[in-house]
Amino acid sequence: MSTGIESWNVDLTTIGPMYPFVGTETILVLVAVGAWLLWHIVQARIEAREVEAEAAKTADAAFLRKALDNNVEQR
Amino acid sequence: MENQLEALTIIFTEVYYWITVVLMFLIHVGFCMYEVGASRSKHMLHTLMKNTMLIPLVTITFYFFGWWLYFAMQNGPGIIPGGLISAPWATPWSELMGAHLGGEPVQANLNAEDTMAWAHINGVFWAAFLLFSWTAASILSGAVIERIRSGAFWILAVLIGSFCWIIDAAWGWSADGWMVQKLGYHDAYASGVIHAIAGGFALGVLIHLGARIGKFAADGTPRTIRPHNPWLVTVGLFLIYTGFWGFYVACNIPILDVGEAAGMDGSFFATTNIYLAPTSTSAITFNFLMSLSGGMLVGYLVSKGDAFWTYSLGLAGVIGASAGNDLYHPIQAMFIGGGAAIVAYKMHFWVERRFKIDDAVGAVAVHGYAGFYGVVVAGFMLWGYPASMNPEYASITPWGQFAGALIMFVVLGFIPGYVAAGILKACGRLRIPASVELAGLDIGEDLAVRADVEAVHVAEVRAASVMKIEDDG
Repeated sequence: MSTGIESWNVDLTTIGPMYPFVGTETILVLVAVGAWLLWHIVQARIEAREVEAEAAKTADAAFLRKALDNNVEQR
Repeated sequence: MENQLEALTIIFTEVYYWITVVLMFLIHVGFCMYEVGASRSKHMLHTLMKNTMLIPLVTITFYFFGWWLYFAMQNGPGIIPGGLISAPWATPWSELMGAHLGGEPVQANLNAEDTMAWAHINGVFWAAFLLFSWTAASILSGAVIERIRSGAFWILAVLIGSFCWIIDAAWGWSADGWMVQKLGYHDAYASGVIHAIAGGFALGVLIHLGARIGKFAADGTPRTIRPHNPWLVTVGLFLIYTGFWGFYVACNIPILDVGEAAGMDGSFFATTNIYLAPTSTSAITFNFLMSLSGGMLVGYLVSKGDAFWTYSLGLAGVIGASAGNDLYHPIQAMFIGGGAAIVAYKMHFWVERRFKIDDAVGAVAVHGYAGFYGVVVAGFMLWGYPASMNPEYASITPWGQFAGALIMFVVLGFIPGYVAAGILKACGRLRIPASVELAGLDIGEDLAVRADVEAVHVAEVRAASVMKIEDDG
């Protein structure tokens, strides 16, 4: 039993794909594309929450002035 | 070299490994930057020199005995029959450990076959393995910053770099090592043989070393000790990524005729892994990039976009897929890399909270836990694959890989690190005094130049006031 190659002691010119689970390529691509899209959705939601929280804090004029002063000092 | 094709093959192989050494140098530039950036300013120079001096120390000890251990210890010795294996090209007094043109040997324990085989390869092969040795020691270096004595670290660096890892390579990262023969151990790009062992070793050391002052609150809550330069840390990690390319290709043999080993009538030239089984540079290029991407994408989400952890978990992704990256499909490598990121991140903080282990840069997690995971995952993904061109050797199995991971992380990693650090601690030589840690490890250098700094300042002030009097006429 093997997930892919069972032996290297064969005519090596007959070996094509070396990766395990040959035949699952399409499923892999579909799952990977889904994971990629899901990443963007999750990231966008997290970022929206964070930006909202930061915007609420920086709406305070005193806080914003202090942040600007810090930026000037760092320059 | 009797004909031009043979000469081209040999000299190409020689130059190939030389290039990998140059690329792998970048790993160490990266480690220096990353550790200096991660430490607080008061410890910078000491941190830099601690990491820097492992280079000459591991180099000379690898020359003295490390290279010989790789060949001599493949049977254990005493684990499978055969005892210590003779390796006259690798002893430090061998004529083949110097400039050699490949002709008749002068020393009686060598023959013409030895000189022909090793004259052009020995130096570059030794150097490629040496850079892996530096890497094993550098992994420890980051975990122990800001409180370890340099001398203690350098002893530990020689132990992991020129002794422990090279024995694990003899056992599980060679064509005929006993772990390959009996367990079917497969670890093409060193998830276990470099990363898990170094992470396990670091964990053993950290238990004795203890946490930095202020790391844990009275109730045991860990505090974040911020790097003094986060930009330097991340650029350092980026350089480690770059050098890692050299590591990957150095793990391969660029061109080898595997036809005879496969039982074929004619030749079959291929790039092979360290076990002399076929792979390709194209395959590892796909898989390196996809496993890096999987690690970074998952790392970004689990760490909430933290720069240090995103870069570190990208590395964990590559490490987690490395055991089988010679064979995986790229999308498999991507998901395996993503899984490694979760394992490394969650385990780091769990161990930190539960056991009060202060790993300053997450080295045990990124290398140790991700490396262990990588070896185990390969046992399932590559179940039934031959571990070798030799059909009598075991094939890859989940239990063989799990046993191998335990040997790497615990037997050759954690235990030696724990014992050696314990001895150094008992001798009072492991950690710097608390007052020095508080003042900063660079306090010695600061005190040495303070008088000069003040005198220069006084001279400048005097010069400035004289100029003013002249200006005022």
